[in-house]
Amino acid sequence: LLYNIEGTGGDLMDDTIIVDGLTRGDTNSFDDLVSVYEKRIYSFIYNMVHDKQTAEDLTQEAFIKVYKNLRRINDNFLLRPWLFKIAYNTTLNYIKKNRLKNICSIDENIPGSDYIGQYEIRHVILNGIKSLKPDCRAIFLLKIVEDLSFEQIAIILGMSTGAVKMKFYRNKKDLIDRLTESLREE
Amino acid sequence: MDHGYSKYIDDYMKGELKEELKEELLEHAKGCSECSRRIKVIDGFDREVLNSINELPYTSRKDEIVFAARSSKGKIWIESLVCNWRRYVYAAAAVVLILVFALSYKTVRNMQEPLSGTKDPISMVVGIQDKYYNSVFKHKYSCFIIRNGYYYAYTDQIVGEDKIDKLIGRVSRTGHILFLKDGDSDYDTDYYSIIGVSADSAIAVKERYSKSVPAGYAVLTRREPVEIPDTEHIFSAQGEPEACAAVINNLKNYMPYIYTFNTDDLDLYLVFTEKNTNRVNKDGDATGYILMNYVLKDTADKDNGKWIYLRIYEEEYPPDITGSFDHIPDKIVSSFKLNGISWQEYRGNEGKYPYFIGKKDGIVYEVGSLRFTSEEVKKYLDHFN
Repeated sequence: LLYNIEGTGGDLMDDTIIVDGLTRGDTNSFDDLVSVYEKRIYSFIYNMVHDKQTAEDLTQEAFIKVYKNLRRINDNFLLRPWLFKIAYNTTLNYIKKNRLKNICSIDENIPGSDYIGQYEIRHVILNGIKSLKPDCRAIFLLKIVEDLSFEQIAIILGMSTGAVKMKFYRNKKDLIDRLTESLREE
Repeated sequence: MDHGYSKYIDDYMKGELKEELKEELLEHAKGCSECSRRIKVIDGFDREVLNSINELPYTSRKDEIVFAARSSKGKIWIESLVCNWRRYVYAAAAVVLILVFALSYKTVRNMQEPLSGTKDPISMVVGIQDKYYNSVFKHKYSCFIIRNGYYYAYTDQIVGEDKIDKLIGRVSRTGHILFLKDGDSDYDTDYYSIIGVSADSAIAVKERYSKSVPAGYAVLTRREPVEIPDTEHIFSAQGEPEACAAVINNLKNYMPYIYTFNTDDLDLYLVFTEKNTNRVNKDGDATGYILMNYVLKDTADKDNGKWIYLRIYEEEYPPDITGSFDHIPDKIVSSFKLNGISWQEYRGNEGKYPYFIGKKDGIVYEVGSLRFTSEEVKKYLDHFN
């Protein structure tokens, strides 16, 4: 039921084919699933932990969990929220286990600070996202990068849709304020 | 930015600004550098985020991941084999234990039959209580709250305060409780609903664990309905009328001549069997007595309530005189007979409250009291049968 919510975004066609293959027990479908989602899951996890080796390990761990739970997949199963829920929980477990409250240090000094414009904008965005709490960071990544609906993100993160929306727009507004400020100085 | 367009900008950011208002905002922005800058940032925001975070060095590790996942499946198979192997051993051990238990239980039952109604049962009951005491109060979960007739058991999940909705209850009873009711728990705490989650499926309590657990609220999810307890082997109870009644029933199986106060004025608050110190019967078994405490019905402040203490034992094996049964033995206030029991009235050790000893067929019924008058206790003795 959780993963049958209608949502936007995503390679639904790919997902349908993969889900179809997995429900038929086609072993190659898991290879396809890894091909389609490997980089996206890695990217999501990397942007949560900001460490290449950790992201690679957690990506592998997440896919192993996926593989162990393939039997849960049935017809009309929405693959993507399920995958990201596993990736998010795997990452969150890692963060909790390692007590990483401030896993990302914010770069106070902009390297080459005489650069302005595009570089600075990206720097503000990156640092802004890095400074968010893990759940808020996940919301940003899932909404903007993965283009998931608020309902799907709420399921992935185990919170209400209203809370997801509120956190997303509050943090987005904060970032926009900071970007507007940097443009003014420019 | 307080020129009246802040709300427009916020809605524009959320994509919720109506078309006609959007036109108005864009028209305004032509002459307002602040709004113009902000709209520019909003328009390019998602693209900039994508540009900022998508430039990641990554080499595909597909083969490695697929291999690891498939290997784990092999591991699962081996683990399952090992687990099953263990399970078989455990199952065999369980069967042996059950057989041993069944045999010993049968032995006890066989032993009890000829004892019913005879003069030796109290020491037998004492032995049986010892046998079952530790298993009586075991519930399905060790960490729980009872709500709407269901167990809510702890999970590993911790949520932050921002996910807490509102206070929905407070634990009302803790401790050794046999008949679990709403508000019972093994831990005294408030409990809360969680935002976006029905309290019928999960609740939260302020987490109580060690420093190694992140601060927050522990999530308890709803599990099975509260079980109906097995009262067949309870020989002690306190504060639970149903449990006390069950204990009396069980005791009467062994001692059909056990008497109680059959009046609506008194609540049976406590009943248990106790071993006599250093006293054994002729077979070398521990001897003992039955103790019951009655309190005047609907007494809220039990510390200052009116109590009657009842102790029953075999005349041959008298227990020590202690506490509530202290009395002045050489001063009989009155003697009388009620319902076939011969009573003698004394005064408690401080000479204050009435104290009675009744005897019938080699069984002694000792009645102490607190804050009752002699007449009141005598009235209750009339209902003692």
